[in-house]
Amino acid sequence: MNYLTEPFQYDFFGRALIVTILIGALAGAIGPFVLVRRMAYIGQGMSQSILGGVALGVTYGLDLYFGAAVAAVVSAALIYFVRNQGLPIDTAIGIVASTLFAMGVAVVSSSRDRRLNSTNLLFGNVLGVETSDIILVVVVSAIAGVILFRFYKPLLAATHNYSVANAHGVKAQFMEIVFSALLAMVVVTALRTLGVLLVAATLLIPAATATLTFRSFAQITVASTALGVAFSIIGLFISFHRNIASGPAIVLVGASVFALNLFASGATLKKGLLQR
Amino acid sequence: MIELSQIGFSYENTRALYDISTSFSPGELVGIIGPSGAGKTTLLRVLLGELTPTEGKIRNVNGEPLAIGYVPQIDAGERSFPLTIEEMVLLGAASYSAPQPWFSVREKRECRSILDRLGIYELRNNRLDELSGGQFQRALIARALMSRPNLVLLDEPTSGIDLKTLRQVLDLVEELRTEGYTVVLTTHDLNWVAAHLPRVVCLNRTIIADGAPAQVLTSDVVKETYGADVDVVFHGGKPVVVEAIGKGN
Repeated sequence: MNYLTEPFQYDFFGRALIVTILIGALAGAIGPFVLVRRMAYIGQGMSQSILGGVALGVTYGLDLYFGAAVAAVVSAALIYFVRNQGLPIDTAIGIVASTLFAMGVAVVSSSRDRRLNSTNLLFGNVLGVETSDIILVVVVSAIAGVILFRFYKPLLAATHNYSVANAHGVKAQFMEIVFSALLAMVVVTALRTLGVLLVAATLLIPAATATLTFRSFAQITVASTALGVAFSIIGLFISFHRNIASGPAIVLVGASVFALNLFASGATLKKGLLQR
Repeated sequence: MIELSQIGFSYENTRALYDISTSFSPGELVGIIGPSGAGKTTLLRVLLGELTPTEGKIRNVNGEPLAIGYVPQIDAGERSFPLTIEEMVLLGAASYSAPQPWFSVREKRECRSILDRLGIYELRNNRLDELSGGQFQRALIARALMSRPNLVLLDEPTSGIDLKTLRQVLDLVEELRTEGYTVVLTTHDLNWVAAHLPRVVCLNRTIIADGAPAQVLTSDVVKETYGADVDVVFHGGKPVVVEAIGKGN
């Protein structure tokens, strides 16, 4: 029991828990859309890209999240621009993300500002969660939740088949903007606890784990959201007790559950095949 | 009645369609045929609203807005998506359904009624990748009907399917026609159109001929449409297009 209560003796843990639960839920809810769009790299690319925005923003005296938000929008716009020049999407993401990430590393490595701690920015740090972070994450999560609630059906229709959704009266192009906005919200708000390198994993692992077990997209979305929250809570406790960065702890918990589920699915399949 | 008046479309300096004037009445079943590059896909995209015609206009003469139920070609990516059949069909209602993540009881009842009519009600909880080609084709049509269309548009419904499924597709489009839907499909399969559809539009950037296959599918029209020498023979009162013997290309 001490294992569960001890962390709450420290104020930062309660704050970090609220933030990671909200981010886990948000990333878990959006994850299935990222997964079925086969756009894992866009989450990765966008999250890496924001390092440049954060570094430049902080250097010029701006808010960390403001720089991250601007960088997310710029990176999404650049990725779509490069793709529209006829390059494959993974190439576009690779070029844009690597460039903005390199820009961020260059600025961080030459800066003496303590907010630009490279380990914290790359892998997250729960100790850094302040009340202002909680307010931001609560507000952004509420906005993202309302958007997802409002647009779940047209977003799913446009994700499944863009042309068909468009023909059937869904504003499919607007849904692309909605999807990018939701993704940017996750990436920016997860910056403090997960760091820029591990956000993509929290989008994908809960969704991929849910896909192994559930049949319908609605079930997958609900399960992915629940798993995102569960992985965040368990990961945060492990992070506290083992004294490791929160981002890797959350990702490793998720990856372990995914691996177990994959093994169980494989075992079932093998057993079924053997019985035939 | 859906009326196309002097529709034209150009991609930069290339004229893909010109002077397309025709109309589709309720309960009509029309096949649009033509070779690759004839503008079938462009016409389809114009009808779908993806492309805005550079000339002419499309209107629904009875004043209602044009509502299209679109049945695309079967795509492997679409089938591997983790959706049940009922979930996918309900997505046809996404544009008019209430802004909440779930569908209403009324919409679910409508969906199940369509699934029942198309003979796939029992499969409603199956995943898309568990369906045969014919069953999946039915599910795509069900989704199109769920969008409450006045024109059902099928893109190459005969391509890449076996003879049995081809028969099922024909039965389905016949059923839609008798239920009063206007059904327009594109296909490469000349003889399938000739044998089964009451009206054919031969397209090669403009309309070469439009009417009943027995009247329209002559050697000259097919040659003008496809640019190939063919013979048209009649079998059981229906035209059959065969490669011309001894004429060469």
